[in-house]
Amino acid sequence: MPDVRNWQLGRSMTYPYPEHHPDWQFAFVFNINRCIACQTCSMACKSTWTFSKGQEAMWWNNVETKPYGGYPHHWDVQLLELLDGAHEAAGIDPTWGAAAAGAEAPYGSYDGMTIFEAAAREQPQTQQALGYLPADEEWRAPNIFEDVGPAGRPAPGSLGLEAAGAELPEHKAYFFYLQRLCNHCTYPACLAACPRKAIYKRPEDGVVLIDQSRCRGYRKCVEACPYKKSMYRPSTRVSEKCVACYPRLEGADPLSDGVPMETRCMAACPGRIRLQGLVPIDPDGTWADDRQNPINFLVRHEKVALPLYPQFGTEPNGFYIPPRWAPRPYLRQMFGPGVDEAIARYRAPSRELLAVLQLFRASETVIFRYEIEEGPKVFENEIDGKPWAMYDDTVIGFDKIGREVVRLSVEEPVHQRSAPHPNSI
Amino acid sequence: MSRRSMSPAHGLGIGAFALALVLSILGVPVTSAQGTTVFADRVEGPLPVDAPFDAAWDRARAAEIVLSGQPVTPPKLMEPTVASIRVRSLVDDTRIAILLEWDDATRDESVLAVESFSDAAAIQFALGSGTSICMGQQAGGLNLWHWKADWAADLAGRRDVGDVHPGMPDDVAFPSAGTDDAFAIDGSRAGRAAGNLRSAATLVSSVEDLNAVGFGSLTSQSVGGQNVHGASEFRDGRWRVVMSRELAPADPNDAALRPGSAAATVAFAVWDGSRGDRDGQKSVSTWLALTFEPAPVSLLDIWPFLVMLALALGMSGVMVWYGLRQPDAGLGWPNGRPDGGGGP
Repeated sequence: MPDVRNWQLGRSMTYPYPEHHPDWQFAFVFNINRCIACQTCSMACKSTWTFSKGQEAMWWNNVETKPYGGYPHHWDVQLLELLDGAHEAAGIDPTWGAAAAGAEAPYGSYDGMTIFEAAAREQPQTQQALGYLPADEEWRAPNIFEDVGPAGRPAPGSLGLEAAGAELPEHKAYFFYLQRLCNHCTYPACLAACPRKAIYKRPEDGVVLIDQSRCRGYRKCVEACPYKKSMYRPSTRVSEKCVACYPRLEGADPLSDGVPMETRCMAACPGRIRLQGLVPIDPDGTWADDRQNPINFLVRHEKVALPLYPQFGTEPNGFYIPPRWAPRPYLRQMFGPGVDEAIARYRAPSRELLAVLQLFRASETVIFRYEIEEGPKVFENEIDGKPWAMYDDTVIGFDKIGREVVRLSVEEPVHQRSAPHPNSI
Repeated sequence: MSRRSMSPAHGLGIGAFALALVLSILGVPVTSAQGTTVFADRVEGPLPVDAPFDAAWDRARAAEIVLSGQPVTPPKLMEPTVASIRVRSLVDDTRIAILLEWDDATRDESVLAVESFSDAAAIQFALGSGTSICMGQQAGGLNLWHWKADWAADLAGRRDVGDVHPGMPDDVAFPSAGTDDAFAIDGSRAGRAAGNLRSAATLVSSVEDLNAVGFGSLTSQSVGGQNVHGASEFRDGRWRVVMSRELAPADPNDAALRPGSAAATVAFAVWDGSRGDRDGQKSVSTWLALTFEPAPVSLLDIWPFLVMLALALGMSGVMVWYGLRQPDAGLGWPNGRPDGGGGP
């Protein structure tokens, strides 16, 4: 089996196909700290793509409550358990070695097994990836355990509130929302597992699609995708998945003015938690060093956004700013060893990061490049015992052909009307 | 002692050879091994293409074929879920029907739940000589007939989610049929809009006609090319499936079967839906020969062969007679006992 380079693991890994990379990669950053689980993204997707018969339980985009929620039920816990079992059987203690950290190994090096390696270790190897097929009932409650968290230590008669109040860095009673869609992985497990070769990754934008004319409904992709984002549609007897709103990505939507436009779920977010982009990929598969691309800046330079379960080994292209208040061991299991640094950087953002964070949901047009115009210092404070200052900088976003599409300042402009105005209170 | 006449053993041997020669010329199989040859017998009366339990099948010779798992390419099945199948075949002047029969504790004919898979069976025919039993190869393809229990059940009327979830609202098909939008009917059913046979609103047969030239290349023939008829019945823990087709269609992607010509090369596969079988997770046979019972032969058809045979036997007789007339050297046998090799 060929070896492929997975920068999120800081090493090479086995994959059924040799490396072959797109020119651009669809990628996104979600700021978990801001999400209110209003499900506007879920409905935007559903009303666009999955509103028909046979798609009743199909949510290409969903928002679930962690730690107990999951669509399908406990998808991540079930796979983690399988992977744990494989590690135990092999006598391997999967850890991350920090020693190898570098530009192409930002989180160190993972020395456990990926889902591909766990499957290859089975002799004879019968499957391409470790996985399981969730049954019908497991897809029927997209936000089960909504807002349920582990109980803390509530004081008597305190309505469940902590006796001492909640304090960072970790709340004892906590939950957070996890926004999920297909990660359009660099090494998709769905594609690896499809015996039909009906799944392909587009060279122009890295979007992973199921060819609806070739799919034979074997559900090997549903079984293999660690994120469970390939879904079976009984009405057509074939599987479907997120298409990354590719007509919008291609600039084919009438509103797009011919340049790439964000997907429906991204563009609909009222909480401004989402930023979607296309990152340029070098021929060797590494991310081109394009610091002015906002996704590239957040993921590779600032390292404030992290991949979801990188240890699965598919190199997902969705990245998350982890929630500040959740227990760190839980977050490290979910986002890898970069969690502590990411949260520290988000709690006390650099001047540039604070400006780039303003770009979230600022425009439907995909922002390919940003620039910052410096403004005056407006606030000073101390965070974690260190001085921190805020500047009213202006961030400017540009579309694919270099046109300015958005201009925002860190401080929201305020106009105070004079008292005699007829509406004034 | 010199040899002056043939021993009884030699006479028997030459006689058996002559008989085998005659039978071979007449197209009667001389050897038979259980489980490696399927005989397509000529049917008396109509071909029972729609009747898997018709009495005519009892008169056809059954081959018991042992199946193994599929240990070649993922997804693999290391141990077969179905141990063996019985295969019979009948032909008339224009069509061939092949009956597959196997034991199966469960009748699995729904694929409406994520985790439910259908029972299925397939026959593959080699197209040309340079093919591979493992889904064929570029140098030589395969023609496959794939029967599916869910397709058979859908023939009467396509089932949908409402059949397994009666409470499911049925007003979610949108846009509704009848508008003049090009996407109105099928646009939101992507598989159907893409022309996928699995998603088709109506099925013409429970058997899909396909071709393959290697792993991952399996492709349905066009709707117009679907010419394999299916009939199936599940009775007392047993599936009986009949697949039938015109013997030699004009389509070059269809395996042409011609009685009287060389045996066709075939293989069989079975899937047990409730065991999660699908795709490569199947129980398979090795290559087998599908041979045809010859048509009744008249002397008029074979007179050139008979003349040649008579000439050959005549010349052999002359040579034997000539040999017997020679002194000790005989026909080149050493002196003494011809089959003992010793001296006088």
